[in-house]
Amino acid sequence: MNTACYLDANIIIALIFPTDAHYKNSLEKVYHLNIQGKKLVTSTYALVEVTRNTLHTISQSEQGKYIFAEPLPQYIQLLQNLKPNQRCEALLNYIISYITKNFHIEVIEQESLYQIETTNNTKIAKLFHEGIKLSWIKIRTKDLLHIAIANLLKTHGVKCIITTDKKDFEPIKQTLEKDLDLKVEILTP
Amino acid sequence: MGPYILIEIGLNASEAFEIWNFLVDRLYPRTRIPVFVTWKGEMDLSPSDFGKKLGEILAKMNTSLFTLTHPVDLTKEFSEE
Repeated sequence: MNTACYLDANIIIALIFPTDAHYKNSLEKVYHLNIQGKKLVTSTYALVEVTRNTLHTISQSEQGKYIFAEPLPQYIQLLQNLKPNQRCEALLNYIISYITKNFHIEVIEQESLYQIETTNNTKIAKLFHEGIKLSWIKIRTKDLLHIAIANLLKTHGVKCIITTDKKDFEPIKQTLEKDLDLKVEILTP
Repeated sequence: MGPYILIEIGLNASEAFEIWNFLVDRLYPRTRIPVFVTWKGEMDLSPSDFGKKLGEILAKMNTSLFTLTHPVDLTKEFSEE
């Protein structure tokens, strides 16, 4: 099985925003891993974060905070013309196509993550159970779930997490490497 | 973004995407200039098909829909939320 790296949502965001501070190093890392034949994976959970944040950026462009290069605003407007739920659906599909075709990133979903387990007569999805079992790690819940997913995706060869989040991941880097056997690569601009 | 080719056609979105795809496959590898197609007709694609096709075409030209005119640090902005 090929070794795989799990990409945090912030790497995906950097890759789809070419003027982002982390675009160049994320792109270099992704190309380098592609050349090495390493698998790049992310989760549908990460896509929730990416879609939400991208949508937030689009909506703020109306107030002039973000300005899209010509001739892109007319395509952004087509997204804006859709009903809110449809806009999110279109955006999700855009993101999947773009990262899959351009960077060979695979979005992995696995039924086993949602397998129902039981604890104290209470049903719990395996993913959330894993998150709870790892909640001794000092990190925000949002990031803890990425770690839980990466840990469960070891069955897909995941051996590392790549993120731009130095503030949250630097303090727990060694813990993840030593206790979970998950290497952490923090990209800096 | 630099120079680009923009073509407006009087067809619906689904037909325009077929032509756009055809043009990108033939023009972009030779010129390395991004090609864009807009349409005057109806948006006859579902939202998911629209997003999927747009992502596929722009990926072929390594051109992101979210190319801004200015630098940003979104990863920092979002991590502070």
